[in-house]
Amino acid sequence: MRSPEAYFDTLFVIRKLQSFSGGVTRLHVQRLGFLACLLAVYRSRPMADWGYSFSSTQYGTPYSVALWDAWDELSATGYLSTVTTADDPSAVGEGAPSPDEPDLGGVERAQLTAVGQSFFAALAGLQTLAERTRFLTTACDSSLAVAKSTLHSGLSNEPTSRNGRFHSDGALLLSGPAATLLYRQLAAITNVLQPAEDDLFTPSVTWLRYSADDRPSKAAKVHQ
Amino acid sequence: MMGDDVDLAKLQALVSGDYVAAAGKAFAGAAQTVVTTLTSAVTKLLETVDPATFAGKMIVAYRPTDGGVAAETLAALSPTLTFASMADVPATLIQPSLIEIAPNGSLAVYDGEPVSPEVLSVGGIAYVYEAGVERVFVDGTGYALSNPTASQSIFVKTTYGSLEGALRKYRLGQVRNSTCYLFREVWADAKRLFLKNKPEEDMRRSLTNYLRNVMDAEVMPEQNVDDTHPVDIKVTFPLTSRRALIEIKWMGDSHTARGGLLQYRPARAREGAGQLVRYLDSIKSSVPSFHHRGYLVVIDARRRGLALGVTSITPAQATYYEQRSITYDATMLARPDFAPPRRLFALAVAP
Repeated sequence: MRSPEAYFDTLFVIRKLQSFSGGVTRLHVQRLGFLACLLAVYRSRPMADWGYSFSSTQYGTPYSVALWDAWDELSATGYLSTVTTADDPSAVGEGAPSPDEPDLGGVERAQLTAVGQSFFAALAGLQTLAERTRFLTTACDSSLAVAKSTLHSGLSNEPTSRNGRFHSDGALLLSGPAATLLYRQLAAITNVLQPAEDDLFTPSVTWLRYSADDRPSKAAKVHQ
Repeated sequence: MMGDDVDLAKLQALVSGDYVAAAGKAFAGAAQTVVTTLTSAVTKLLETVDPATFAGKMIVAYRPTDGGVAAETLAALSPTLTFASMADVPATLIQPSLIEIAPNGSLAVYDGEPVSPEVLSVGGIAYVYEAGVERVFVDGTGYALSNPTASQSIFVKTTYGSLEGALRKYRLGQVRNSTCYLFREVWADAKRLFLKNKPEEDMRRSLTNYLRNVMDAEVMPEQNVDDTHPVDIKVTFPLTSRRALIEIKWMGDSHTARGGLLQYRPARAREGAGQLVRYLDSIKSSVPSFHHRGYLVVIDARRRGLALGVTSITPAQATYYEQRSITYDATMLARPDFAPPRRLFALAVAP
């Protein structure tokens, strides 16, 4: 097993959210793994302790090879069942799809199998993985409280992610000089929110909303 | 673009109007459980009950503890339906009026509004959907939800596997009647006759945000294809070597910063097609590991009879260009990596 943390996090996120939308997508696991890691950094946990890293790559940002491989291996060994779903037919609109449209194969979603549940339970009993459940749970719960675009945009606008795309050098995320702005953002959120000591959730959702709105000098507008 | 410092004014405005921040104050460390119980229930419910078909008001309320005015009022009533948990709610449930989630997770459905959301949220939390507007009440105060999605609710998580399908829906559902609140920023006037100065950024933001809501893909704005020409949006699909490059152009009359009018017509759209072809040729050699397909999206805001100072036009003038499509170079259209250009006509406000 290359990264027990990556296996655990993949299983955790899928297990937590699999009852929604028929399962969890690979990109969603990547994003929530990154958000959980960011929350651990917010709580002053060293990046090196997370167990795997994220970088900005041509395949997307944030991107973790460990999470990507964990999905593949869990799927290959029968711990995940995956289903590819087509578009919601009511949402396609008028006319037939263009015959020239590359076949993207729909959306692949995963759920835990029975053996996957057992494997997860075994990993969850490991003391070394116990602390990260708080960050993973908060990341998953945060994703339910905001729109998909808020999650996507919030993470894309994270300072080290933006910097990584600009330089295109595959540098590790949540570290380096660009992380200074992230720390300032998180500190400002703590100062403004004054959250309870055990409240990680409201800072998480607030940061996502703040980061997602990249319009200069305006609060997010309320839908009328 | 975000600066390199924290925008405190934006942050404070966000916090003061946000139900999650309010829940943090009301419930402290229990806020996560309280909010997630509600958001999970609403998300699950909206997988089966389509908010686009709603008539009237729907309320989903959660009280984390027993007792309270709301509980006492509801205890005197007979619910129309009860369920042991959200998992037991059938897909055939027609839009309910009030769903109350008890501390033990059981649900009770009531007709009408026997208790107001303000009262329901005392010691608890309540979600209200009415006429496309969503609010969450915490401790008696209502907080409007900012909805950046393409659907009626931020808790609807529709996903498209096809970019083509997504763009068709964007044309009809977001641009045609300026339904997208981000797209509404492109207009210089309330009647939607003129575009504002440099509307491109808002158009790009609108489409980027929409695609981020409905695609399971990496959607990135302003991606550099080469050193000098960023394409508007790049969409990277997981598990494939395929990418979409989206170039956005607009046609219409835009107010300039100097008080004049900038008019773009079909030549601008054809210029965009040429630009996209150059992008595709450039990236084919620089990133050969991906298959790129170019999509030209033309926002058509043309009106007949516009000039500086015009404040109204006839319906015939407003829709004169609605069915007038653009012709493009046949060799471009024949390219396998060049998708048929899309023209998205944005209607003026009906008089």
